[in-house]
Amino acid sequence: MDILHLLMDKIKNGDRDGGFTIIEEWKNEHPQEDVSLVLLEPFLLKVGILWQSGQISLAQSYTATKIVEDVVDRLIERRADDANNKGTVVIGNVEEDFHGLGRRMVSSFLKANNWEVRNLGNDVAAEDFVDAAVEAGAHVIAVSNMMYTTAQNIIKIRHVIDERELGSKIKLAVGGAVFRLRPELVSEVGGDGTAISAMEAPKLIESLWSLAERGEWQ
Amino acid sequence: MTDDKGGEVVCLACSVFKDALDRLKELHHWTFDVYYFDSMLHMYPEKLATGVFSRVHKELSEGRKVVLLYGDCHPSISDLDKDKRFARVSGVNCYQVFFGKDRYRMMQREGTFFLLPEWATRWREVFRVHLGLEKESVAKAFMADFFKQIVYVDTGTAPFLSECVKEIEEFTGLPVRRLSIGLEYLYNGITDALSRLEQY
Repeated sequence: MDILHLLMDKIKNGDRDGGFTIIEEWKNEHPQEDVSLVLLEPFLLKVGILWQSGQISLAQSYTATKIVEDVVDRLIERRADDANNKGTVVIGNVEEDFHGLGRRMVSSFLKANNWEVRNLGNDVAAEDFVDAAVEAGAHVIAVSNMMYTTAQNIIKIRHVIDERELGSKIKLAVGGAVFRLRPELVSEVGGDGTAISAMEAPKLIESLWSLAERGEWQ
Repeated sequence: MTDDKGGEVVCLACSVFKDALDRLKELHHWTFDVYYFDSMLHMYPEKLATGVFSRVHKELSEGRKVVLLYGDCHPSISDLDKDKRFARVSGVNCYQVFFGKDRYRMMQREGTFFLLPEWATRWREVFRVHLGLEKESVAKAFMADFFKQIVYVDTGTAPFLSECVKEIEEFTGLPVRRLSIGLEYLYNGITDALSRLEQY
C-alpha cells in the first residue's frame, strides 16, 4: 500500500497521531524538501477532491487538515533558515463570518507551500485585516467567507485598502463556497481573485503576490 | 390563508422551526399552510436548492405567495428575493431568526456551537452521520478546536431533553448551556414577511 493510501486509511479512522507518525517515518527515508511537494500537496489534493465530491466527511477532512498542520508545524520548528519562505499572507474570516474550517484548510495549504500565515481568526474587522497586512509586509490579504450576506462585508476591506491607497501593494484574495457558485461576486465585493478550492489557494496567492510586488493594479 | 389582496399565502420552512411556528400559528390564528423540509438539508446545500427552490417556484407559478423561513442556507437563496410575491424572513441563519443578529454574534465570539431542540433530539444523526464525527475522540478534538461551549436554544415549545443534553456533553466534551428565548423575533420576522407580501 502506498503512503497516500495509508494516510487515507488513517483519516478515515480519525487517527491523527497515526497519520502524523506515517509521515514522520516517510520523512526519515526521503529528503526533507520533498515533504511538501511529493507528499503533503498530493495528500491534500486528494483530500480536497474527495471532500468536494462528498466522498469524505467533514470529520475526515478535519483530521487530514490536523495531520498536515502537525507536520508543517514540525517542519517549521526544524527549518534552519527561512530561505524558502515566500512571504507572509494575512488570512481571516470576514466580519460576521464564523465558519473557520475552510480558512484553516487554506492556511495548511499555504504553510505547506512555504508561505508564512498570519491567521486572524473569525469575524475580523476590515481595518484589522489591513493593519495586519501593513505590519507584516504582506502583499496579500486572504478573506474567507461562506454566505452571500456576509460577503458584502468584504467591500469594507476593499474600501480601507483604497482609502489608504494600498491597492497596488496589497491584493485581496477572496474564497469560500459562495464564490464557487457565484463567481461574479468576486469583483462585486472588490476581490482581486479567488480560488475554487483550498488546494488552488497557493497558486492564487503566488500570482497576486507577484502582481503586488510589481506594484500593478488589477 | 389569503392576504388583504386576495393572494393565497403558503409558508415553506425548515423543520427546526416546526414547534415554534405551530405555537405561533395557534396563538395568532394564522391559517396559512406550512410545508416543512428536513433540517438535515442544511448539510447538503445542493439538495436543499433542489428541494426548496423548486417548491418555491412551483408555488409561485400556481399563483400563491410564499413566505420562506430559511437563512442564507444556500449561496443562491437571495436570488429568490427578486420575486415580489416572495418574502424571506430576515436573518442569515435560524439562530438570528430566533434571537437576532447582535446576540448571535456576541455568542459566536464566545465560541458557541448552537443546538436547537430538533437537532438535540437528532444529535447522533447530526454528529455521527452528517458531520461524520463517528469516533468520540475525533468529535471531542473537533469540537474543542472550534468551540468552547454548546448552547441549547430553548424556545419553550418543545420539552427540554436533559438526557440528550447529558449525552451531548459526554460525546463532545463541551459544556451545554441552556438559553431560554421567547418567540418575539420569530413572530416579528414572519409578520414583517407577511406585510411585505401584502404590498403586492
